Amino acid sequence: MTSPYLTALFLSRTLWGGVPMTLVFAISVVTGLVMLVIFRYTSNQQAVKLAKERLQAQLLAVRLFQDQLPVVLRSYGRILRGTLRYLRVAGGPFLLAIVPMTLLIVQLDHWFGMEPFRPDQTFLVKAQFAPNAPLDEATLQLPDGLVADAPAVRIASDSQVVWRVAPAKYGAYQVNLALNGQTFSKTVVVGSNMPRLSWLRTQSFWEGLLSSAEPRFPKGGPIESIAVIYPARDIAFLGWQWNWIILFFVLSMIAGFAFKGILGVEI
Amino acid sequence: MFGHKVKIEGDLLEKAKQCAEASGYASVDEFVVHTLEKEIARLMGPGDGSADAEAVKKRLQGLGYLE
Amino acid sequence: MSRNHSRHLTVLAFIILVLCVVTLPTRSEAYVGPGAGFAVLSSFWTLFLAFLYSVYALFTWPLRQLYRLVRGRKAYGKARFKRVVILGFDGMDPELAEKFIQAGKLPNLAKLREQGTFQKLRTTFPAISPVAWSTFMTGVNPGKHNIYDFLQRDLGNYLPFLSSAQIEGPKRRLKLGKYSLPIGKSEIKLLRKSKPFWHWLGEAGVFCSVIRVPVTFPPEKFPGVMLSGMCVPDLKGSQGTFCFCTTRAQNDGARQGGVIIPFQKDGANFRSYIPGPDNPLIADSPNGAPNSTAQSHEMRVPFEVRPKSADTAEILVGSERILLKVGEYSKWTSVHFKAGFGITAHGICRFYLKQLSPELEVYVTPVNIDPKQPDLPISHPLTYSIYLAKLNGPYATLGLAEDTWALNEHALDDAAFLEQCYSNHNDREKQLFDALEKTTRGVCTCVFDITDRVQHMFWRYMEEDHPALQDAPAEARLGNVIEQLYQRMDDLVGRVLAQLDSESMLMVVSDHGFKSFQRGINLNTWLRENGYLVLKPGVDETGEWFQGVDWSRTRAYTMGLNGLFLNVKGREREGIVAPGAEADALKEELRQRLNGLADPENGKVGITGVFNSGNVYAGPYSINAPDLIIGYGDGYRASWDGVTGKVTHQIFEDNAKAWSGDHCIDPRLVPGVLFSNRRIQVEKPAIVDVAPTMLRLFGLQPPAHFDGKAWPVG
Repeated sequence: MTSPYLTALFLSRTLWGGVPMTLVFAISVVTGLVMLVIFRYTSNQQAVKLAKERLQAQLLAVRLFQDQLPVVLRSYGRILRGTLRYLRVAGGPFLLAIVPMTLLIVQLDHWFGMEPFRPDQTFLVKAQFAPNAPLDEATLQLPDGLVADAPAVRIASDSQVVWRVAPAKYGAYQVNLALNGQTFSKTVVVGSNMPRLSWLRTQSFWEGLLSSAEPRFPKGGPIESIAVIYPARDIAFLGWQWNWIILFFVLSMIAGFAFKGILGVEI
Repeated sequence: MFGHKVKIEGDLLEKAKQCAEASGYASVDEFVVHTLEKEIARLMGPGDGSADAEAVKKRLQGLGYLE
Repeated sequence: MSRNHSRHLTVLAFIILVLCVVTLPTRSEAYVGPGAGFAVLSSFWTLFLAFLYSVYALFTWPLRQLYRLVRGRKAYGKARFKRVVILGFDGMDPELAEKFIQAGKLPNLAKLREQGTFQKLRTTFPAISPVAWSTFMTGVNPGKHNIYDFLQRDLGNYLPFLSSAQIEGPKRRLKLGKYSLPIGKSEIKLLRKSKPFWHWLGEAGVFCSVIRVPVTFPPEKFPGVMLSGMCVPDLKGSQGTFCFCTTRAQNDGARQGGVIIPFQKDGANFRSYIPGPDNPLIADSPNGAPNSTAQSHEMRVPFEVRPKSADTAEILVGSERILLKVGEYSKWTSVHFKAGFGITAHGICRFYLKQLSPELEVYVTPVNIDPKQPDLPISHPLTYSIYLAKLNGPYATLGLAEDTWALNEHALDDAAFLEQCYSNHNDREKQLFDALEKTTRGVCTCVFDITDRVQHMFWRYMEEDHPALQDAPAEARLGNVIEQLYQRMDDLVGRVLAQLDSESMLMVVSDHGFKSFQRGINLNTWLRENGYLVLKPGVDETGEWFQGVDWSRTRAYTMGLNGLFLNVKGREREGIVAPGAEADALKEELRQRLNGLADPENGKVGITGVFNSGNVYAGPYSINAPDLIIGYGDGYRASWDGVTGKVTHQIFEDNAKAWSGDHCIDPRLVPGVLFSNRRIQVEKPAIVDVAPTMLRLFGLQPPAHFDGKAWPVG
């Protein structure tokens, strides 16, 4: 009786969000395992084990000596101290792993964090100009397949110009912003699959590192950044829609905890 | 697994308590269990033992006082 | 804007990552990956549990108070002291203590003697630890607690069993091919009867911490904490089976108290294994129950030794790599014996690299039950052993943790044995001081075994003429091991005294004293030579446990350390002595003939007292007592052969073992000690008085069945 219903549910991809979910799952498991191995070799496993066990002992003490109030209070103090000790021995190695991990997440976010535009979906192209740049002279040159949907809106106080664009068909496009004879381009993708997307092109090194997959604009030029706001991609899992990072975080943690016994790693 | 309870009426329990105290048991439960054990041993006899010599040797191995 | 914002959080990742680690998980933490999440989640979980438990404790506090009120428990209301601490020094001898005090070696005990109490403490009949400590805790004579020796006899087959506890596997099993799955749990029965004083105190609301008091396995429930002591088995179910792995060619694979296992050479390395318990899932007898005689189903943990230099080797066991120098012990190491179907027996052991060349020799301690994952209950509550292990690390759980047989059999030398003893002792001290800290009010009782074991094994060095020294070269003889032992215990007393305030009382008690064990007496041989014990035709000497004895013509036999039994009709399976007048007459005859039995070699009296059990025991379990209790003289004890039911041709024989001191003799010769920081005004105090005294100190009336009398404490 329930089988057709479950099958239908599955097919509707609310339980398992298709290819993106499969990829996020696989990446999460692999990341969890890699983190585990990194932790295994960068941490003092004996110290971690010791700190954890001392902490557990104090928890047990609270239970064992529950009628002796001074003992219980002392144990609470030791639990707090033990927690800090544990964080000291376990936190360090994890902090080391955070830099590559952040860069990995930034890169993956280009695939999993956003969806390309659909042909029927208008979107905004926002250009951030340098202060005092001539906003009126800027023109947006659209390739075949993209059409301007409305006149440009210039917000002089913010040095910003916004265009609304409607895609006519699928494709990966370059929109060009012409200003004083110079051209500043930005990619725009209209599609249905899972391409690598870059919502921002910018002058800033840090912004570029963390949010862009395109070359940076030259420093000191009249255009600081061009952004297109792709819709966020939600991935279906167990009946809910999730941001991939939440799934990645939870699944990689579960994988880590699941494999720590098998790999003999103390966390 | 959960043991087995036997109901004893008030009068008998009272007498059992007196006997337990007079005989040197620490509780009436101890008295009842031991009384049953003795009666069972009397009815069933010493039996033929519950272990072989090899098993005995293994269990006692390491007891410093014995070779 | 919110989508845009979520992406910008990536930029913030570097800034907030440190904060993430020390705060609760938030979505931002996701950006720093699972690593910090592991750390935070683990510690957060602990804090969360602590918080949850606090809420629980807070809400149940009134209920628990109400429960106390309803049960009429008025804890501490009439207590003489806020806290009473009992240090049990197993086997501390009053004469030696006096001698060392006189020599100024024991300042803390001397202080107790000056300002409080030092007296001899009368022990039990017989003066054996399980008997005396059972009396110590229950306040009754053995006739009421049912422990007369380490051993009790099976009336059905004249074989012994451990008198303190009985472990039986599940009665029903499910057969699946070569497997036989047990259904239900093993049954562990405490054979000691009556109730310990901490039971009565706990009922009254007095908190008690009890550490390693003998004959407390399996642990009994009571409102307090307890770690079981003497008689806790090892993982094999024995009282301690060491393993000695060697490349040396051996004639057989067995030694007393242990097994010898050869190393297999593998290139430059050597492989061997640690023998574990029999696989409980494999049926090898018709009824499916594991057969004790089968060796083939023994579970094993392999290990490898890799020599690294002339005096260093690496031992690989499980996932552990242990680097050891010759003459060095490893720390406690976990070993897991896998039975199948996910069932694993958890043990801990220590390795000792005895020698690397010319032969490789590795001693492995008996595999102790892992206190962190106890496969059998060794504490009450069950979590107490886990708590102690997590607090201080793994520790010896075996009842007789000091491997005396390894020293007897030269698997360990004197120094290695002593190191083992003191290592265990240090762990025990940590447990004591934790219990002292946790028991702010109530009773803290801890028994130390080292005093007994070291005196057993090193008494020989106090006597030039001890037979155990015959082959010992002078340079190998240790000097004042026992004096140093007493000094260590005195130092411990000093450190405990420093923890006590004016509202605390300290008692130091021992269950018996100590004497030399130079000569053994085989009473079974004496009984045979005097016509009380008869062998089957053609049998000249028997094996262990009376193999070859003709029970249909035997009237008396001995088993264990001090008990002599009549072969009573209707009681023993093949009994021939009529109960009543005939038995009484035979008892009296034997008593008279054995009392004063002299050693033909030197004329010394080997037996200074023979006691009719009817006169020394009273209580419902007296029927299980030996018929006569043999009191050996100073320097004598039941011989090694006699204890295990062997009948030979020698009644008196030298004891050449390292086990050279003993106390299983006439109880009048080996009283224990009683020290206290308070004046105890009583003449001839006895160990049976401790329990009623404890109850009185907390304002309780000792129950009517107690045999001891409470001491007036000043």
